Amino acid sequence: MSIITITAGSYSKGEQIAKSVAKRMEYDFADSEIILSLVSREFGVPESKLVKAIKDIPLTVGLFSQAKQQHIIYIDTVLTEHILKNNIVYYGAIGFPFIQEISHVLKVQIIANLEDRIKNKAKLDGESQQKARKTVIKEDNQQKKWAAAVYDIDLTDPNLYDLVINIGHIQDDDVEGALETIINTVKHKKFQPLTYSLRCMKNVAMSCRVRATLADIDSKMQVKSDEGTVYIYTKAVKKKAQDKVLEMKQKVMRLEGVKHVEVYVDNDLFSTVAHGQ
Amino acid sequence: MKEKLDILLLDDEAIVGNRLKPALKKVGCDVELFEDPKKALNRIREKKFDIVITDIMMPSVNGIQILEEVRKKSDITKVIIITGYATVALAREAMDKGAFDMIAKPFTPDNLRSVIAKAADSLGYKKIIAKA
Repeated sequence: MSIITITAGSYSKGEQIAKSVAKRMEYDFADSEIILSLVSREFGVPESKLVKAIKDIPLTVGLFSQAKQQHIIYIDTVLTEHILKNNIVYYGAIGFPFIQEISHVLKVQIIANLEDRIKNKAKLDGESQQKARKTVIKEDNQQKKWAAAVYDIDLTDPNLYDLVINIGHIQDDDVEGALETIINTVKHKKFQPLTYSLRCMKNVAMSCRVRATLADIDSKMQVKSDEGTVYIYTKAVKKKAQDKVLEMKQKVMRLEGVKHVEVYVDNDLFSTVAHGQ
Repeated sequence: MKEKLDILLLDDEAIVGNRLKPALKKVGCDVELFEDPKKALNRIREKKFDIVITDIMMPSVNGIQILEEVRKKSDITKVIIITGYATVALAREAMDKGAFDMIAKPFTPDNLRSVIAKAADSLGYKKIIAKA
């Protein structure tokens, strides 16, 4: 009863490995396509807009539009609640920081030789190697920049993972080799859920749900949860702080499982100056 | 057939043990409470307990050392770690060394009782834990 996350560059056979692990372990499989369709259904946002939210890179670091920030919050929420049920293989990088501190999540990165990936793409999509090279490099850069802008992480940093598998360095049948390695690793006691780690996962999912509930009020707030107690850290213009706190508390208290809400407000100096308040 | 679970409870903060001991006795467990990890270690060497519940951060002997000592003495004793300093690394180290479960402080007696019930179940004593 564990969670396996697999990230990989495009055409690295990551998706194929993730699906095979799920099938062999009889776990559920999820990827960004599945998650985005669930988000679209729950929050009524067209999938095309959600795709933009996970692909587009802001010109200035951290400066996403309010709508895109909301969409990312919705995606994080659905993802964390979806993997809460355990016994799941998740292929993708979205929501990565949220599972970083969960001990029963095995985090796997699949890497492959760039030339092999280019050949793979050219063969699969019937295009020239030159065109395939451009696309693979562009997609790598895009994914790296997106993760840095949204989550402030470097997806290529091996320290983020429990297991980094370089396919092509294992044996002739590299997918089978990666599959065996992942399955043998996740069976280790270290990756079994504990009362502590299940509570961490529930707290993370609750914090994301609170952010989604309040995303229309403030998409930049910080939220922490512990066993139904929710701590919200937000900014507001002094005059409006009391109303904002009240509105946030009322909305969050309606959520299932919330017992107590505390809101901490910092003076929003930028808005105070901008609005002359 | 065994009627009561033998539990050793170790926490250097008296308040923790004093709160948990009656809660466990209430559900039919025999509890030996220790605040001094060295005394607890001596008792572990003398007696095979069904369950050992131990804090991690204690002076002189830490919870991982307690876990290792229990493992030397008995393969079947379930060790439950209770800690206010839970991290991914600690959770994985504890599991690697044979802990049964880990609970982050603060927790309620009910939280602990449900872990004890799971441990009793895996020891084959399904009916020992009575409903409080």
